[in-house]
Amino acid sequence: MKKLLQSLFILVFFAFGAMAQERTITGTVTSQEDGLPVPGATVRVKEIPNLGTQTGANGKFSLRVPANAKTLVITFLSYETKEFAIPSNNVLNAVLSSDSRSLNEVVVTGYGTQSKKELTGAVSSITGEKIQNLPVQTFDKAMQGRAAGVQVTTNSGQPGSGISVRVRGVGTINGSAEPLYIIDGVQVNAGGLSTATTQNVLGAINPNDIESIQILKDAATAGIYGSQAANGVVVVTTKRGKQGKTAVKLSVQQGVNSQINPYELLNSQQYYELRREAVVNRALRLGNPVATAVTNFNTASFGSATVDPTALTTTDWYNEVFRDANFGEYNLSFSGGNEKTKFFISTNFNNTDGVAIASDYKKGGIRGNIDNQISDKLSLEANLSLTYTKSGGPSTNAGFFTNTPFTGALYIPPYNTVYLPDGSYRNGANLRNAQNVNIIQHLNEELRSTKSIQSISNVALNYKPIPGLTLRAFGGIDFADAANYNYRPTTIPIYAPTGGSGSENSLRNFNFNTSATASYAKSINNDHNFSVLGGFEYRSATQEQLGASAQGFPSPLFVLISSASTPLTTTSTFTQYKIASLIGSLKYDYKSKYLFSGSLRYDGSSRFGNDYKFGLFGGVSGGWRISQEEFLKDSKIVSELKLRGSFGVVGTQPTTDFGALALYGSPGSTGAYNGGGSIRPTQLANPELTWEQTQQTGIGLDFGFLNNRITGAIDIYKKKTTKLLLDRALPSNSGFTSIRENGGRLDGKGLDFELTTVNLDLPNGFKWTTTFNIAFFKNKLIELNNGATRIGNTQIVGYPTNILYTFKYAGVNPADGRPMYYDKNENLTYVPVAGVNADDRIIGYGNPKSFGGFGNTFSFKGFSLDVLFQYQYGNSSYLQTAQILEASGMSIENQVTSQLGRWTVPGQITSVPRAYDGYTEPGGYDPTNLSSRYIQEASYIRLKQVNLSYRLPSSLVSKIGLQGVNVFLQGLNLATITNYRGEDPENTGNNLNGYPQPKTISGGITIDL
Amino acid sequence: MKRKLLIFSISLGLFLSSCEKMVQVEPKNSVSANVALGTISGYESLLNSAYVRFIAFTYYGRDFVLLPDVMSDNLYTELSVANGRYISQNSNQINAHMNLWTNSYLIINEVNTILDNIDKLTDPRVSQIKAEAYSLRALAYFDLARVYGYEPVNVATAGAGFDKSVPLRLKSTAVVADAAQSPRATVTEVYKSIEADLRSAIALFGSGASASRYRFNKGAAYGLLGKVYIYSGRWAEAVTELDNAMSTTNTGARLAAAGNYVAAFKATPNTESLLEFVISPTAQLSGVVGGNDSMYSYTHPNGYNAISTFGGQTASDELFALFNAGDDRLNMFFKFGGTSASPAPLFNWVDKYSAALGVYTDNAKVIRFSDLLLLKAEALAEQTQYAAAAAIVTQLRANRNATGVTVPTDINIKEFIQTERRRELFFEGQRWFDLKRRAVGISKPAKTGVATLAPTDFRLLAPIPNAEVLLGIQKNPGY
Repeated sequence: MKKLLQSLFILVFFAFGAMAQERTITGTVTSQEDGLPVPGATVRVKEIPNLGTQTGANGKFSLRVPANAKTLVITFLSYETKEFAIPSNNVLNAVLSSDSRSLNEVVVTGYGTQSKKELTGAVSSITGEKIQNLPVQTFDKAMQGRAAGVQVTTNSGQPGSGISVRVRGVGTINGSAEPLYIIDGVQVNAGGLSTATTQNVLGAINPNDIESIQILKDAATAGIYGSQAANGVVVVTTKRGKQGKTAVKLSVQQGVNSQINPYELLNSQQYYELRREAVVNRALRLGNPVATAVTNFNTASFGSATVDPTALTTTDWYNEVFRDANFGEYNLSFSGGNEKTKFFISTNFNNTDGVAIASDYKKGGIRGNIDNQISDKLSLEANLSLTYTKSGGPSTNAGFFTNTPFTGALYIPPYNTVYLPDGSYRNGANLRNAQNVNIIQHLNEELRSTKSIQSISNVALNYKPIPGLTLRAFGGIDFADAANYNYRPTTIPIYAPTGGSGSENSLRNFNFNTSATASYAKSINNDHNFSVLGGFEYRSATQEQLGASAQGFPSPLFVLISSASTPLTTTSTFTQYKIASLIGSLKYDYKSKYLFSGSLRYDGSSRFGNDYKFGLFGGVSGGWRISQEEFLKDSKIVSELKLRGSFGVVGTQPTTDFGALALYGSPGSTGAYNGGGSIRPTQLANPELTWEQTQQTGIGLDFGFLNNRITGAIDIYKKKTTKLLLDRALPSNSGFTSIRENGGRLDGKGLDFELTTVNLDLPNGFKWTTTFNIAFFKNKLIELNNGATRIGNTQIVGYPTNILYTFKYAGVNPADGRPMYYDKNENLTYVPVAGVNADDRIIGYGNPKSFGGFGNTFSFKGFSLDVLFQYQYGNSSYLQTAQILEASGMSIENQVTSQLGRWTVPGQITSVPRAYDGYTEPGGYDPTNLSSRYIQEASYIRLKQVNLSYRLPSSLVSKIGLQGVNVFLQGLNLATITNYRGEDPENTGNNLNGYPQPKTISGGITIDL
Repeated sequence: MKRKLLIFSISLGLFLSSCEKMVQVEPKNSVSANVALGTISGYESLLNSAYVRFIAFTYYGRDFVLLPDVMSDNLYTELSVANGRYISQNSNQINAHMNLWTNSYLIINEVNTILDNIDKLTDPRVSQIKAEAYSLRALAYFDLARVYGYEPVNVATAGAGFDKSVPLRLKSTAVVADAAQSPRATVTEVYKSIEADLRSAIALFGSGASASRYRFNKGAAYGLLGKVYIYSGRWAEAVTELDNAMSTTNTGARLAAAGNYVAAFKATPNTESLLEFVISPTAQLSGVVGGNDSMYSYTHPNGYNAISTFGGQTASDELFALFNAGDDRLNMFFKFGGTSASPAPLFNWVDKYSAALGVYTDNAKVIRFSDLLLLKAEALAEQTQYAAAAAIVTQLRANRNATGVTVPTDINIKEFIQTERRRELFFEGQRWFDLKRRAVGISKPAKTGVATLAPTDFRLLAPIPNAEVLLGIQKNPGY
């Protein structure tokens, strides 16, 4: 070590020994916006790029420079790089202004980094500070509304649950549409960890540890990830230490989540009126005695032959499920280092209660990111993290399940109270028309939890034997161990007959990827700049599960399955895939004016069939920085103008690991006959199964005007996906219903636009910045496999994907109150018929026409106000919840008050059919079946985030010995403008039992010690 | 340079071939066909899979046992408490029907796989496995044939000559090419195949006197064959095979003694069962442990015996009125409200699936002694042997303590036998098929408000699943 130091010293001495005359420059770097010191800024001598230092925590620096040095270059992330002539008095007080859209930003693309200036592909970036202190449990949520062409959808309000991300629309039918996530080089198997509740793998990364998120959108940039890159790549980089005094940062945030409940439910009197009317209408229609029907109804529903509706009390069960829930988030980080070793250490703890009772999320994690310069040629990087997460929460499986919170609560008629007068839960015969489940008791007494330990860590060694050449060895793991637990005690009546039941499931994900790469960069005369990279990568992803369930617990106090009398089932599963790849890339630019970049990947995957085991992917892109040309170089108006073009081929892997093989499986104990185990053929072989292939062509223009006060980018692109993973239906009389194969074609095209403007930048420090992004996307199914023209009713050749297909509701016949539909000839009918060339038709599409975000930042002397809107336009959604809630009293479930507008007298114009017990009138159609009545456009604009922060003046703060104090107040999901009648326009699709997103208000403080 | 190139290309070649191995993963939860079919235990397990598919909820696990009564006249679905179950089937709405198709063909492919391959092994267990496989295939085709097509006995009458039955697949699907569509065979072809399978099975079975009645056995195969002859109108052959079935050398099943009708249904196996499919809680659980979808749950009021149910399937008034006081079979009914013992209205519930051994453990009685006895009486009556037929019915009624009614000994015995079948076999999946094969129309409980379905009504045949129609299978008329 000493020797190394010595040689380093000699080297430095040798390099600068010739310069006899030296002087020391001192000074302070401050920010133009708030006048505060800028710690960690790099101060370099322009003439000798190797010579430099960093400002300390107080923004001060001191640098010994040779006498011939004339200019200092000061750079700092998200500030404009500035050059200063070295003053004769050797004191330089530099003021940096923040870069509205930093073109000097470094972008992490694939296996290297690139300056944004030289970028030829389409990449969206989100800096860590934008998502700092956002009260979200997983960083993927933080991308919402902030990147053009990246659609982020929060499907659930359960804290820490999964979300869906679509980069440049949907280009697949059965493949995964989620992007590839890469965290500090580790390819992460995103998804869920829980079999009991919901837990998102990406929770392993603390959002506050993130330095930047890059989203690689075009196929040429993403092409280096080959068969995994068709849905784009999200590259996350965590923070690293900087040379200088150790910076300690503490942040504390407390807040409250509250429900957003759009439903106004019937009270007991209204419920009785509607239900009785339904029963009477049925009796009249069938010619049965009305009095008997009413008596039967009263007896069945209320337990006595006559009912006085005015004496009924009302309980809003849906609201009973909700509460105002607290959360707290605590972060502490240390970063610093010297010229040899730098570190970033952080710990965090998050404690969030869900707005539904019995749902919560607790997470604690630590991270250590370390860089060490072992010798002048050899350096080490390590990112180590460990996270423990405990999620508890009800099942939010979509569907009509009586024991799930939101569906369960809707079932229960309002005249049932939650508790009996003696304080016990209302149950059994006392709980009427409620599918035997007191959902409040069920939520409180059923135990569901997932406890997981995760690590996403890596180590890399870099060796630079000669200038320009870097050899890199990288190894990373994505590990998760989740213990899932579910217990249903006998105190819940429906579980009493079986003596209570419990299940435990242990899930382990072990994924790793290793790579060896060599990269070489060379500049000839500062005009021709080359860099090449080549390497090998190997990835393995394994998931194993082990589970058991049992029934017959001796008492509700015994909750582990080992205490149950009857073991029921055991499960153990193993699934794995492996990918081996050769990678290569080439970059060239001429005077940073003409840019070229190419990438190649040769991927082999265990998921591919034997006949197509390996595939070649990659792309090329080029750019022309017009603003560097002579005719624009001195333009006062145009500060940046770059034309980009790209073409690439990427892939999507089959979703199942063994999809190409012929398999015999065992259904386990559930498939045993009289105690004897069974096996059965489960899948036919398809040795030709392989990747989906997406070609993407795009052109883009980056621009900056008026000294970059207006910056932005516009991109248009076309996608063509062939070899789609599709199921071919087999005659089910063959014993198999389908086989997965490649075929067909899906085209897409779109436009991404983002714009940042500095609207006001006043000398008094007031600054107003606006960011806006919008994306348009449209796809069209060109062809299916095997000559098919449609897949059910959701995909039809010649139309966009994600079709909502059903009958068109024509409202209520004013004469008799019965629901009517349009038949295929646009005539009215009571009984629509489904089928080929029948009455059902395309009603809408699930994919939005456009979406994006709109944000404003106002700052003034330490105050900063951020307001972000997020919007989506043109997508339709089912309203499955409305199929229960808007049933005009036809069923026992509670209804929303709009159903009081049902048809009652001839001539009445209404869209709500007359009440009819049991749904279907003779010769009619069940009006609660799906029709356009239950489909609605779900466009919305949402005030996603408001953040007001104040940075206390340093003069004040330093008096109490602190470096900086920032207090903030913020709100999430504060308001939404939409016509959508469901819980949440973000949660579309199969949304029955959807857990609505909460409204969040929080306050916090960040202290730099 | 040349040498360098050579070394480079060799190492690249080695690298690529090792890549091939690097990306191979063998599944652990599943095995390949060769491994699965290499040992006798593989075939035993495959046969078990076929058995367990018979107790799917859509088949003998529930629907195939209850729906034939729901869709005809033995059962009324009490709307207010049925939780939506069987409402549309009880009122015979279009497309509300039995749906066996996919599950049955899974069974057929599994037994075909056994029959195609097992002869490669020499093992003493081979003939028993083959006999059971043939029998299960016969039963699967018999059930498919009577759900989706007409019977040989009524193709010309009710069917007006529509003689399409179901696709007849007697070879397994081993590779994709084998899965090519197979058109619907004729009723004659399918019944011929069923007969041949049962003949093969009977020849292979060992003695049935003490064989397990939880698996197919010689007596059950004879019984099924007798039943197939009834559906074919081959009355004399039916009598022969039904006698073989009930012979003590071929089965251990016996007619329950007087006073034991109810007790027999709580015994496992039922004294009278020639074949009974075991329904175990584990096999039927599929992860659902709460209010469940068992036969008990559908036929018992919620809260009865403190068990949560989806009850709503009650005895029709018409069925209940068929019994005279003292008949043992009346003890199978109990009065109870929708969710509590009182107040009114009370319904007549049927306790045939009594959960005596646990909520899911009411076995499906596939072939029962008294069913065969009454079929024999019917075959005799069809051959105008009215007195012999009456003697059988009288014997059965004596064992049920059903006295006070004179059993006719003339042509009226024919109708009397059918009524006796209702009294004996209600809620056992017989009624719809008895009405359908005899082409007398489907009578309905008055409370449903549905008129009798004519024997020619298109709803007597189940709709062919739409996915199959799209792949070229001919639809049933009327759909």
